[in-house]
Amino acid sequence: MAGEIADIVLMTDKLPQIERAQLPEDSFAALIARARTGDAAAFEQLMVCTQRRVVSVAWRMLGNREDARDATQEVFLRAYKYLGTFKPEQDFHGWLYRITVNVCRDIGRRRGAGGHGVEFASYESERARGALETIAASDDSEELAVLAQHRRIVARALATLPEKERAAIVLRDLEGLSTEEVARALGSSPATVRSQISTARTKLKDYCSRYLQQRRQR
Amino acid sequence: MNCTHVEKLIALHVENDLNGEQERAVAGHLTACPGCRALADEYRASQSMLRLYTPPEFDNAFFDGIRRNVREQIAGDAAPSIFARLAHQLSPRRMAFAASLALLLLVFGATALRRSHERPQVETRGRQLAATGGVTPGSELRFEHETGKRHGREFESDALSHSKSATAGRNDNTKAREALLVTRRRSNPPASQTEEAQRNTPDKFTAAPVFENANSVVAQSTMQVQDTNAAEIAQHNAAAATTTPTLRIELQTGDPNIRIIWLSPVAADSPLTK
Repeated sequence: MAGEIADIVLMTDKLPQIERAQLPEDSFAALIARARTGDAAAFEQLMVCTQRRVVSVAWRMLGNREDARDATQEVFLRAYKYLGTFKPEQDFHGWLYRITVNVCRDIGRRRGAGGHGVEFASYESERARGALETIAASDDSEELAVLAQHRRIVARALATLPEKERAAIVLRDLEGLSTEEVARALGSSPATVRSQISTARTKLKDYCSRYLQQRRQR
Repeated sequence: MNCTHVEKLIALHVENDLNGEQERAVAGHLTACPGCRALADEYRASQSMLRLYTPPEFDNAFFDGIRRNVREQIAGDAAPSIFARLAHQLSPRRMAFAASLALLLLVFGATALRRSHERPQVETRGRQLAATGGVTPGSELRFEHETGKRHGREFESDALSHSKSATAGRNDNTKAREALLVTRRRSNPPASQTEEAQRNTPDKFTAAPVFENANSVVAQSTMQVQDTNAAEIAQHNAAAATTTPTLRIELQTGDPNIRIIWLSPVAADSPLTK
């Protein structure tokens, strides 16, 4: 199993990074200050700076494009509404992550009553998105199919996790936040976050291990 | 550190989430334990699979649509209501005047509603009492308030103090027990009846000592006595106290706040006066 995963890791090392609008820290703080006074242009710029990050988390939490779009809109609406309560000494991205997690939780609960589900990436969609264009052996269909299948497995595994564990592992392992930042975003203590992460990783490992074991037996 | 302990920490070890001491202990155990080392490899493999879970590429149109919807929603929420527009047009002085006027209207309306609610009850109950008996034609039905105590104890007539309290606007929430009493006065007694007959047949009232649960008597619960009644009560009590002896029969109803007192003039030479 380790050998199979190692090959895929080598291929994904060359995936392009998603670029985000970056501003110097003091400019970002000034932007927030202007947006708090009701400056619409400043808030628009804030959205531009943070939209990819919010969509990324929302998509990973909810698993499909439509829910991610709805969640992102709701996140920015709540941010606009409660911007007056944001303290300048707070971390804006952490504050935004917290709103995103709460919105995704609300949408996920509504989805329980009937909504979109996790969409699984197909081989064709993987090629269409152009994410695999830098793979050395671009004609190696089997490798691409395996990659798509692995993404589906991970999506399913994440969907089985409770909300808080999913949020913890997405923020820590996929968004790269520290344990303390995750704790602030989730409104928990670092010890609780470590426990949630440990449990989530164990469940993910068990899920993936079962899949890979079945694949080897074919 | 044994394998059981290490297995619980490997999930954190693979992403460097352990503190220094725990990290060194786990790392040392892994070098010596192939089983735990294999477990750690499984965790690393699943973490690598996890990092494959990247979102699809969203184009600019996708983000433009999100921001446009947010702008429209904000603009829609910001549209002022009719009250906000009205408040914006009025000066602060006029706003204060309008608010004061509205408050006064509210207070007057509430007071008027409350008074209109109370009066019909008094009149209705009076008519009910007259209709259900206990009152003969020609008799005068009076409502009295007496300051008193709970049933079982004697009520003391205190018309003067009661008139003061009525003027002060006491209601049934006061601590002192108030009982609404019905007195029956024979303004035109039938000539064919003797005084004794009048005395011994008090119409439909039962002449008995004070007892509980006199349900045969209908009475009104607590209410405010008008000032005019207070004057009449004082007059009646004064007349009863100075001229002729009065037979006083008290009946306690099931409501502890209601006691009925029947006052009937008694002849001076009546055996009841002895």
